[in-house]
Amino acid sequence: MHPPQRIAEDELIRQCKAGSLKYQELLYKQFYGYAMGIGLRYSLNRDDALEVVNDAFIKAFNSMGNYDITKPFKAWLRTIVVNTAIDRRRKDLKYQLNIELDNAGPIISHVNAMDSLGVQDILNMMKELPVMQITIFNLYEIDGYNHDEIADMLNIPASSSRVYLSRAKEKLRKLIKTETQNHG
Amino acid sequence: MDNDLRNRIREVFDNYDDGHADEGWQLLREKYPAKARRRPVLWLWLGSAAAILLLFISILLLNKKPEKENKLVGNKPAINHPIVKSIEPQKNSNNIVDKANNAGNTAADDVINNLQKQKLANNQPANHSRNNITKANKQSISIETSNAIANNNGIADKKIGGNNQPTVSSPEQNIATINPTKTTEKQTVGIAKIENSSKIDSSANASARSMATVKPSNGVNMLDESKQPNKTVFAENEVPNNKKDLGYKGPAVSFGIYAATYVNYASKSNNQINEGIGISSDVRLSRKLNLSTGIVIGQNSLNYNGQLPPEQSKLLAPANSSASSTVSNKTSALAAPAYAANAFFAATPSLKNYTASLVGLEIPINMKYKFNPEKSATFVSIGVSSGTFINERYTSTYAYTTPFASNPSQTTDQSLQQKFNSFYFAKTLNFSFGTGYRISGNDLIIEPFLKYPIEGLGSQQIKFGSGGVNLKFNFQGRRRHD
Repeated sequence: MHPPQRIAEDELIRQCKAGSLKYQELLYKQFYGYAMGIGLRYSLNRDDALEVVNDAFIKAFNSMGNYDITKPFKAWLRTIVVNTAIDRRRKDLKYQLNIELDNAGPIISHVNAMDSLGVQDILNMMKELPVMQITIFNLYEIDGYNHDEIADMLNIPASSSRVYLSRAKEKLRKLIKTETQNHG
Repeated sequence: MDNDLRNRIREVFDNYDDGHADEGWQLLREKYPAKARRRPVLWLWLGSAAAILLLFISILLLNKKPEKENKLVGNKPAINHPIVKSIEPQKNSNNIVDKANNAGNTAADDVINNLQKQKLANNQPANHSRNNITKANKQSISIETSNAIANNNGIADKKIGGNNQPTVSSPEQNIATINPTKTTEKQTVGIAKIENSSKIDSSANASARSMATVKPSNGVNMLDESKQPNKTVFAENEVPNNKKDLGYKGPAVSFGIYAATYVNYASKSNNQINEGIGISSDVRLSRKLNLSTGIVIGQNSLNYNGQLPPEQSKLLAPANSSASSTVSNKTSALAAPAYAANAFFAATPSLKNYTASLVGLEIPINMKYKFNPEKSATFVSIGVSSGTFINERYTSTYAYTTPFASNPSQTTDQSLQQKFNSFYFAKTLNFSFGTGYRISGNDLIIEPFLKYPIEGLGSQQIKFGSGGVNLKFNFQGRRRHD
């Protein structure tokens, strides 16, 4: 089986703008991994992440005409995937606002160093955190949103965003420390 | 630790790839087939609907015009016409006229015979008999068509009343009386009947032709005119005296077929000769102005040697700078990363040729001004074109070197094909000039034309136009000379 032929990002986008299904497929396959990485961080399981990714790509194809070709495509796609993931989890996020956050359980993964953390290890750690905390952690620490933007996106006060982030980071530290001690 | 964790998460997830992109795409296609698949059907529907609508309207207009004319004739009862009213008392008192109006050839012949017999019985001089017959004929025509020609009526009354005296002895006087150039308005109406016999062309010298017509060798010809149905007379009464209005009126809608040979032109492209065929319909708006439309299927092709169309070069300008440093400025981003994946190919890929081939379905809407519709088919036309492309194919040919291959210099093609991608509206300006010949009432026209692009066309938005010649055959259908 031949590896998929890699086409220039600009050409892909230009053809997708023209509505070429073939190039949409190529674009999808070229950015599938990148989008799945984002989707997984927010959905925490592969099936949900794939749904998020596919919905995001459909949105991207449908609104490709509005995309400014001079700006990085990855950033544009990232925004779409993040927004799609948050939209899908909005009900969960509302629910999570009203529950007690301090419910961290034992760590399942077997990490002993930061560099050895793999996808599944990180996901396992993230699963220990409440949805709101891990979402805000992802938005702030990984995807670069500030607290005001997060507050707008999640319809919460910016101060709450700070609190959730702080708690998420604290819990992750504990989880990593515990795991390191267990394997150290 | 926070930074380490953040960086590690970014590193892991930004480079995530589970190798299931194909499965993911198949799942996406279950949700996202609609737009791509429905689009061609949609445009096919729209195109077909437009064509059918155009045809329907054309046929409707074509059929409606004669109906209106018939209604005009049929709805005007003879008795309501002012001229007819003035004739009516005479009709009632004149059995000969009634016979002439209501009966066929036999009755008309009877009138002649009676008059001739009457004259012979009253010992008219032999050299006056011809004039008398003429006068009798004229009297028949005058009573039937119009009572406006006073002199003739006078003669008629006397003759019908049994007066044996020849009141008019000179045929020239008769001619002068009915000459349309010297008659009053009422007289002209009466003469219109004579003109309607197709023996006299209203646009020509009416005097001379009237003479020829009014001078019969015997009475039958003139009485033949009296056999025309009344409605014809009244229809002709509707025709104004204005010479222009009496002239040529083309059909409300005429159709034509044509073949076009033209050259496609675009910036930086070699000119390509192409052909097309189409049907056209002209809807008459006024005597000289027509709305011309139709459907054309034509091939368009462009050929760029070693360069991209300017429209694409602009689009790709920022892309080329960041895509790949191994690609020259002339190289499309279409190929650069494709070859970058291959160490051998990444060396020197360069664009060798770029071609665009588009089969267009075009709907022009033009205003056509005919210089002299009565005499010639010469016209100028200006308008815009809308349409879509049945098939678009763009092919990029790249040359590259494979140092370790037996043939280091190789080429490869990359194509993009699309069908019924989009509908463009009024993106081409049309200019044309046509002249031709009338053949059996139809027009064979040679029409040089120029199509100038207002905006880019097709999925690649290439701004191209065409110039060439249409060889057109217009079916004029019913050509009326009123």
